[in-house]
Amino acid sequence: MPDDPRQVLGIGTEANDEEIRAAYLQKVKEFPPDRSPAEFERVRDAYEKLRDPRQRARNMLLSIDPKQPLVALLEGRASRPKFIGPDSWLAVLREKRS
Amino acid sequence: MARFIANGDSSSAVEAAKKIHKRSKSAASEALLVDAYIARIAALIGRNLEAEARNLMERIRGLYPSARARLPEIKALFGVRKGALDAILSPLNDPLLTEDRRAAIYKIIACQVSDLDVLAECQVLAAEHPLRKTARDLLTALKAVTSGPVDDQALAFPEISRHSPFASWKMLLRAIAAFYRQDKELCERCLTAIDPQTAPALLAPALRAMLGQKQTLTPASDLLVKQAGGSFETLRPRLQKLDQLFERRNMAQAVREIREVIGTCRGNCPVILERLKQHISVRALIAGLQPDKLQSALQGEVVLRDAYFWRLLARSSEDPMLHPNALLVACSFWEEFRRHAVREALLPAAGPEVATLYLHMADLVDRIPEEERSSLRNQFVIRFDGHEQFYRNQSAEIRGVMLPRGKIDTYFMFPEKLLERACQVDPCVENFQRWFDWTTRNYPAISEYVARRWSAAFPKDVRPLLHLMDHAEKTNSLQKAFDFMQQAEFLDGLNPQVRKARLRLLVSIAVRHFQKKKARLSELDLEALEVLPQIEQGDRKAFVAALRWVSSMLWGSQAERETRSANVAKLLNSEVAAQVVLRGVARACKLPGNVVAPIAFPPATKLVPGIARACALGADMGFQFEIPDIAYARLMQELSSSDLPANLPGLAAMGEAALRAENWILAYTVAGAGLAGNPTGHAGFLFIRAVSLPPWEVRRHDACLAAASELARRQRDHGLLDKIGQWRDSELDGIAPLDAGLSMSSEQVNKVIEQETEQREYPKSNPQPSLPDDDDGYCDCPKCRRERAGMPPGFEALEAMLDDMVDEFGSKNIEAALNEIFAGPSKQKKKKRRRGPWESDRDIPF
Repeated sequence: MPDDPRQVLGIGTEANDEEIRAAYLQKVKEFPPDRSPAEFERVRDAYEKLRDPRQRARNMLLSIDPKQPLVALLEGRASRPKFIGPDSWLAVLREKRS
Repeated sequence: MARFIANGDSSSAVEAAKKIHKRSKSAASEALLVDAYIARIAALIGRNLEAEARNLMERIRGLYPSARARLPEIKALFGVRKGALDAILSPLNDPLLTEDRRAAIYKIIACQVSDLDVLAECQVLAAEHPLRKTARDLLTALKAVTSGPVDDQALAFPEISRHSPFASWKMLLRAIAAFYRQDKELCERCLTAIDPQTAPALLAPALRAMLGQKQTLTPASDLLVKQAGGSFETLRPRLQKLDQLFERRNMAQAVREIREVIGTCRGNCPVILERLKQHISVRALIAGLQPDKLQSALQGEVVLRDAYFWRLLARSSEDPMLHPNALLVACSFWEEFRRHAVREALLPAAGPEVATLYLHMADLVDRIPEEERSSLRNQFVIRFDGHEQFYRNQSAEIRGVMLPRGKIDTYFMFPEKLLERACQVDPCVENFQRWFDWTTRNYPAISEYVARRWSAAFPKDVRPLLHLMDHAEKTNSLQKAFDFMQQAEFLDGLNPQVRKARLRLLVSIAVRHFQKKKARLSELDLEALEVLPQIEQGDRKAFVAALRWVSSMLWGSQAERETRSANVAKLLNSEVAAQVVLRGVARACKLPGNVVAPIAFPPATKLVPGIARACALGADMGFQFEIPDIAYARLMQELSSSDLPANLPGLAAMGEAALRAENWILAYTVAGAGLAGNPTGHAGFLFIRAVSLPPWEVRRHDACLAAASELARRQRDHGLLDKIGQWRDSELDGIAPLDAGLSMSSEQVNKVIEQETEQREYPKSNPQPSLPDDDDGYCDCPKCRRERAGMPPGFEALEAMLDDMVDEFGSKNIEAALNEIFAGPSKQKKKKRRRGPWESDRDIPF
């Protein structure tokens, strides 16, 4: 199955030209062609696909799936930690003793 | 050995000490061994193996006398886990304490003391003892870091070195701080730096789980993850349950669950609340939940109708299982999306992105069957209110995008308008080509307008000019067509289409001038034709010579006529071909029939080569020459012989001429002769054979047409594919046979060619007598029905078809299908089908 170009570049569905280019340059720095040729190839392919505004718009229109499981909304989102005080943390340390 | 103990490898320490003691058998070596055993006991206690630790303690007490003296120290180890630190810490007050003992005590503190509070309050040490003070500081820092954001400075702890018993605590605090800052990388680095044997390592699995790694958690760790990890862990199971309820269409429970999910999401993960409400409302709509019930489930929560919502709603309406009307609804949602997306700067007002949206909408409308489109549009327009209901309770910004009733534009129901808009916002050649193709297919009358728009947007593009030229030529506006051709020639004189068009148009203009008896103009046309380089190809010179002959027939002398007639024969190298060409050109130029001498073919000459050549020349120049009636019998005779003509394009043109004259038998025979020749022409001859067959030879007709299509597809012969498509349209009223979309294998095509080549004789079968609609031609008396074994009429003819199906799908599949057909209705009770949304035009959600 081919890679999702947005996932390869690590950008959202609504990223604009500048954001796509910035993400591409960042990835090229991470995976230079002389050190990671295969990964660079993937990044390059993904960027080529996203460069075309028509293809990009088409992806944006069709990427949404109204029947996707609601749980999928949590994917890719970092769960925001809650400050709960030390008790629950200390309880883990004390648990071993009981 | 001391290094082994410091590294926590008590097993190796015991083994090493045993070896030393075995060799030395001294008091010092025994003390060393006891030290190793004490470290081992501490390790076992640390791993919750208290019983094993006690057994070991009893064993060494019996074996080594020096161990008895250290019994209180060993017993103190068991007390450490219960918070009794006095015994283990009291030696630290001894100023003569050796470094090794101190290190061992520190190791025990690092590994066993998980309650800093107890250490901080340990009375055996002075209040200002560094251990107590650091424990207090760490405890304060732990409270701070778990209660709110803290500075790095607060967690610096320069007094805690790498070798300190609190080194792991320092790393733990930094890991917790990094976790709250959502710096996953730093958090992981700090966790890796924690010694896994120390007490703080107990929190590592919980932290790693909160970073998204899969971990096995103790009950307390699990609780911590749920409390501090936020959000998702509580929400996830609820969302999964709601998904299942929607899937099962259990709306009553879904309503209750929506309330719970919204409440949980608001408390734990407010960042996705808006998106969640949008998804739930669309899923509820798909599942058929009534809007008032949905509103009640959402407890008055307003669902944001932004671009994301409309996009979601539009995509949900594109489901091919829904009523075709849903496609118009989808387009109306896409139009709402467009306006909101422009407002949210998600899309520019014009540009390729918006054009892509228009093209997508045009595709959707095109999916509606043509015959239903008009009535569906009418119904839609009557009921469409601009989706007013979706804008209720929305913010002023959102409502500002809504179109008031008077300004609703339903352009989105018309592909031609959508394509035009696409060209306006993104004037590129591909969009114009698509618009032009669509209008040519659906509204040829406006294709000229589209080509003009295309040409205006791209004045240097030859393609719209060629389309305009073709259109003008078809409407007989030859001069207009010629002007377009000249413009195209100016832009790209080497274009083969342009070059061919110049010749064709000049010939057509010349013929028209002859028809109107315009001597001077026709002379000019002939002069222009004679200097064209493309006239040198094939027999084209003979065609111009034939036009010269027409000129002499109109305005020349008898001698001129004879000379020019002979010139045509000379150029064609065939008297037969010359007679057909002259007669065809004379008819095209509307010369009176009586001025042209009747055709008389020499008796010993073969007609097929000459007539084929003449027909091919006519086809090349855009004229349809007729085969003289007197030639039919001789042609049939020649074609039936084994001596095949080499000129296959000519033969194909002759076959086409026979079809035009509705001489099916001749066309059939020509096709047979062609199929016996070079394979390159097989596609065309199969098509001629298909058309020439009597209408009741359905199977042969379909097989020939399918094979012709397949070969034309492989040879990329678009002209022939168009012809096949037009033939199907005219014969089958646009309905292609069921197998039209299937491709044939080479073996199947070859089999058809082989069968058709062998069938040289025109079918002698007669059509089946037509029966009234309610009469299948079979006797319905009980005896006859019994003889038919209850099978439907005509069932015996299905035997061959079944054989074909077995070849194609395999005997098992066919057997299973027949079992299903003949086994009668399944005994399983059919579930009552729940009605989905928008299954009829009454279900449009507005």
